[in-house]
Formats: sequence, C-alpha cells, structure tokens
Amino acid sequence: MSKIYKKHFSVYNFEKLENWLNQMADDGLTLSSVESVGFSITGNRNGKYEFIETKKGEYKFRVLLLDKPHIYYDSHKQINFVSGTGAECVGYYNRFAIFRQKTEDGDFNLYSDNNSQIKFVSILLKSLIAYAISYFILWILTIILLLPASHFVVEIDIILLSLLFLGFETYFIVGIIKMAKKLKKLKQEATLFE
Amino acid sequence: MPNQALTEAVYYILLSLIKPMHGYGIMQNVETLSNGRVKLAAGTLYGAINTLLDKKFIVALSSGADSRKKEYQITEMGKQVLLAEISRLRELLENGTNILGE
Repeated sequence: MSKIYKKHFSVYNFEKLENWLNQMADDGLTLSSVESVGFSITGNRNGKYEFIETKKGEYKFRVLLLDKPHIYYDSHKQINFVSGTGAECVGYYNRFAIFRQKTEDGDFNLYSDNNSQIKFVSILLKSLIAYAISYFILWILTIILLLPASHFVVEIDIILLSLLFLGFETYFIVGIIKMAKKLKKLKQEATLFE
Repeated sequence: MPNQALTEAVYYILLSLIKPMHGYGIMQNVETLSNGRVKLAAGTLYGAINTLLDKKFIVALSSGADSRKKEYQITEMGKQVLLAEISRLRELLENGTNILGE
C-alpha cells in the first residue's frame, strides 16, 4: 500500500526535507518515488512523494543539492556519479536529488568534510542573491511601466504587485540569511578542522 | 608549485589514483589506506574530482557508455603536487618530533 504526499520545500530548506524523509522511514514509511508537480508561488515545482510501508528504520535518506537544476546535463553526471558509489537514487526535482541506502549497510553521508559543504552552500547563496536581485529589478521595472498610466485601477495593481514582489523578496532574503549564517559557521570550523 | 597544504581527502584521492580507479573504488581504497579513519562521502568526492580535473592534477579515462564507471588517473602535475605535499608533511613530522621529543 502506498501513501502520497504533496509538499513544497524551499531549496534552502533541504535539511528539513532530509529530516522529514528519515523521520518517515523511522516510522515505517519509505520513499519509493518522487516527482515534481505543480508550481509554488516562487515558481519552483512542488514535490509529489510516494511512500511504501517497510520495516521501521530500514533505509536512511540523504538529499543532494545539485550544483545546477536537474534539467542540466551536468546535474545528471552528478547524480550518476553518486549512484555509482552505491547510493540508490529515488528521484529528483528542482535542485534536489534524493538518495537512499539500507541502514544495515553502515554510515551514509553525502558530505564528509567542511570544504565541500562550504562549496555547495556558497553556490546556493549566490543563486538566492541572484534571484533576489532579479525579482527586485522586475519589481522596479513593473512600477516604472505602470506609473505613467495613473488611475485608480492601476494604483491598485501597483499595490497588489508590490505586495506580491515583497513576498518573493522576503522568501529569498530569509534564505540568504539562513545560508549566510550556515556558511559563516562552516568557515569558522574550517579554520580549525577540515 | 604554490606552497599550499592539500586537504587529507585530496591527498588520499591523489594517492589512490596512481593507478586508474573509479569513484567507488577511490572511496574504498581511501578507507583501506587510512585504516577506516578517512571515509569519503560521494558528494565530497564528486566536488574534489571536478576540482582536480580543472587543475589538471588528474585526467578522466574513457569509460564507454556507463558514466558511473568512469575511471580517473593522476597526471605528472598531480604527482609533483603529491611529492611536494609529502615533503611538507615530513617537515611537520620532524619539527613536531624534535620539539615534543617523541
């Protein structure tokens, strides 16, 4: 018997996704497939997660944050490389590739040192900053285009669009702050340990 | 060659690639060489391999259709880097031994 969940995880909340998958696996529901479905308000795809009943804690899950969105050829090279080391790829969407391994096979991690974590958090941080700047520019251009035609309906449109863009910017700024804090912590640790 | 220390992971990856090896083989070999102390994770290894390819310390060997079995091997430049690192480690060990007297 399978159970299906549709959920959205922000790209900077990949650890939440991983924790959720492992919690479900510990409770006896193991992810068997994942695909993208629908769109979130930020334009990213939502995930459709299918779980099957298994022994509690049978599998351990790890989420690989792809260097680029999964539509790029390089991302498939990245997925194939990790698959070739023994981890089983359950599926991928947006910038997430989800891998699993049987708990009895021992430790399962995708990153074993600070430097590689610093690298992928830096890539993610740069993407979030680029998105925040792009949406901000779009917001300003929209206002500039609408402003000359000043009547009531247009003024309402400007207010509504501004609220929408404010929502987008808040989403990205929260992500930027989270990833900047994580990066700072990793770099501090890296001054002492690899 | 710039006077920079290699990370432990990169040191062992280069050492493993004296002979051609694929990703999983590198992970296993590094764990064996370090008596289980150094366990490379796949994501870390992927990033390190790409960096080493960019710096031309290693080359990718032709693997046919299955890219999961792509093998890599160290280059002459990579060997020079490895030798410089071994020299650096010897200096660290000698200084430590002389000062601590063990």
